[in-house]
Amino acid sequence: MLKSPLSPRLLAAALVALILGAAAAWLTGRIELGRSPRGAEGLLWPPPKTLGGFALLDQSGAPFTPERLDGKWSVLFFGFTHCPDICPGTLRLLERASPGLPADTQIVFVSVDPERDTPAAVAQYVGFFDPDFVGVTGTPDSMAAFTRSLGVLSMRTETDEHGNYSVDHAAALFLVDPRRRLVGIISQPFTEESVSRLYLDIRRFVEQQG
Amino acid sequence: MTIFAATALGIAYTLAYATGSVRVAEAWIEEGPPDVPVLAGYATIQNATAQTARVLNVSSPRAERVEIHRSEITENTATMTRIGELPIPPGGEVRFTPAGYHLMIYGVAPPPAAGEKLPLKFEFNDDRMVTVEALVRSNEAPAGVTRGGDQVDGKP
Repeated sequence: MLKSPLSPRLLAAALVALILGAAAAWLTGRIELGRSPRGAEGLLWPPPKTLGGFALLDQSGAPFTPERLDGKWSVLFFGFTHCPDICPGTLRLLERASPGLPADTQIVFVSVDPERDTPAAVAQYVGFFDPDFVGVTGTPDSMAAFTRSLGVLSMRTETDEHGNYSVDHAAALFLVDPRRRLVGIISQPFTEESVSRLYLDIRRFVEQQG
Repeated sequence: MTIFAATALGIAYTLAYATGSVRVAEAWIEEGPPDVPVLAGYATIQNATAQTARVLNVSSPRAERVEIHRSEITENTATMTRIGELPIPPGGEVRFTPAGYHLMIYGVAPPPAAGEKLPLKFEFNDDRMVTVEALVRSNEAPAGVTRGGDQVDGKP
């Protein structure tokens, strides 16, 4: 059934869609980000889109260009440093999952708030959770082009009387293979276990296709 | 036995000062990166009265200001909305959790370290005020320690 990964028919072929005990965990509010029995969903992305043509900055201010995706697997996720609630939860989950992932995996935090997120701000934020993670920001235009190329939407909320705003953004994880191809997404809700499993499943599948 | 004692002690600390029958329990603040502009705080607000209790304002002498927000993840999109006034139904409670209701605590300087406590004052519509000491801690709980419910946060 999975013989032809490039067939559009596979577009909707979810690898896994499990909800186990989600309601119980959620309704009682006993939310344990790392150990929740909630399931997750992964999706292969046929045909994979090759990413390119972006010029962003990493947390040290160095260029983050397409070559930075070469030769390794990347797990991209989106957030912003003025986000104290959901983004740290995702960062901690990935930090817990990362020791179990293959060594040629880079975890990349991509800011959807480049106006406020300087490389220094991203460095401090991401470094607090895991110094091995890559943090990426850029000019508003370059970031908008990059997120658009991934099909990621982000939208600023109205600025309040204190000059603050939030950014609604994609909460899934995006998997990019060593040939810069966006090969899959891991949907919310996910756990560290499901992230590892889906990533490895998708990776194995893609590698089998050669 | 030890767990019971620890829990009882914890409750004595953290359930803090209940005024009448509206109370704020299990208040904690997630330790953030240094100099981060905003920290997230959590608590459970219980209303044992027969009327809806409305949280009108939350403040802390250590913070520039505190707001109530609600995060949601729906259809793979994370959103956050500011809540002006939070109603707690009669006989009910609202539990703040990561990726749900939370406090946005702006401008705490110097940034608090894990283990510190910050006072949080909750003001209700009937002039009720409840002040709690919220423990600053990491959200990484060791296995087996829940972050909600009857066990007291931050006191494994």
